[in-house]
Amino acid sequence: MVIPSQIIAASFVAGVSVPLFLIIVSRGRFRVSDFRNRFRYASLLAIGLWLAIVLTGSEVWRLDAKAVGDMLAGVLIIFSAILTTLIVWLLVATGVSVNLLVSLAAKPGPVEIDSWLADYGGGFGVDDLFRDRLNLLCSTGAAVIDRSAVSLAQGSRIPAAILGAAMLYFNFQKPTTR
Amino acid sequence: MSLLTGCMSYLTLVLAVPLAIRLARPQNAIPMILTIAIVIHLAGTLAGAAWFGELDYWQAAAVYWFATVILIYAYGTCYRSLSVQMFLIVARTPSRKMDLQSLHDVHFRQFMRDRVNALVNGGRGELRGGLLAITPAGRSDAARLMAARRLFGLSEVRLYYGKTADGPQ
Repeated sequence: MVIPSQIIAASFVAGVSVPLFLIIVSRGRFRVSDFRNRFRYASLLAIGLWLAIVLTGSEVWRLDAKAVGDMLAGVLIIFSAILTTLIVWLLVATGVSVNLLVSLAAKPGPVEIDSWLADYGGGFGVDDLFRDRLNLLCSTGAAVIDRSAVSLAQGSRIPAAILGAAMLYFNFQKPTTR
Repeated sequence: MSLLTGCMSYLTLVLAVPLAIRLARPQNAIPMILTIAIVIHLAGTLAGAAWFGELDYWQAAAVYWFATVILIYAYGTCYRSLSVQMFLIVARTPSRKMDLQSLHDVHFRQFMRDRVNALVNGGRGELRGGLLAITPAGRSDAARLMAARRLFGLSEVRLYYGKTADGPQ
């Protein structure tokens, strides 16, 4: 039972294809300009590839318990690959520490920290990053801006409690209100 | 039985991770979580095969590793997400509301200073007479990151919404 079935093998092929499709839609003539659509298209292409391989094979049409179990496992393998690619891709694209390191490497010499942070992105800095992350909070419905204050959106108490529990689970010190 | 083996292995991982983090107190626990996950996966597979007689390895493994990837994603979010840190700061105030200026000046700037400190503590940067300089290790990491960015065509994408997007302020 260690040798993978057709369905499982197809799932691994499709899983590996996620970053490859992402590269294809990020460069050259197939480049998708919208940052988020790139990832959506790469994921959909990988899922399409998986369906094409699986549905043209013979195993899935047996429709027995083994085939159903393998299909479920295949879906999990594909989504694991999508999520893993997303983690790495987001880190490389928007990770703050990554951006800081890349920015520092581009400087000809040592920098004064505050003035560097104010324009570390070659056109944007810490203030723009602040607005960007506030935008993220508001667009996900977690927070709302009212004039000069930010407040928790209605319905955000449960997500806040879950995040608090996760911080406790992973033993992270909670940010304190100073 | 395969599904059950995967779920039982994951339950063991969920119980082991917080204990290991509290005992070892690593700066970044992802390598440790991965190591524990592999050990539990191997032990769980052997135990499942011995206990149930027959086990479909890939079905058990798919369930286990899918859940493990979600656990690692959750860890990463709690570990370094600026938006999560901002969200929790606001959530912990009694009124669940905070002045934007205060959130920026008092908290957000400190989060950024923490990132700079992490670069220094991680050996990627060093302080020389009050100035921040990159180390050879940092330069090497930056080169790898730039190569990954070029591969994914990410040279100009550094914010979620871009500087020209309508901001809340």
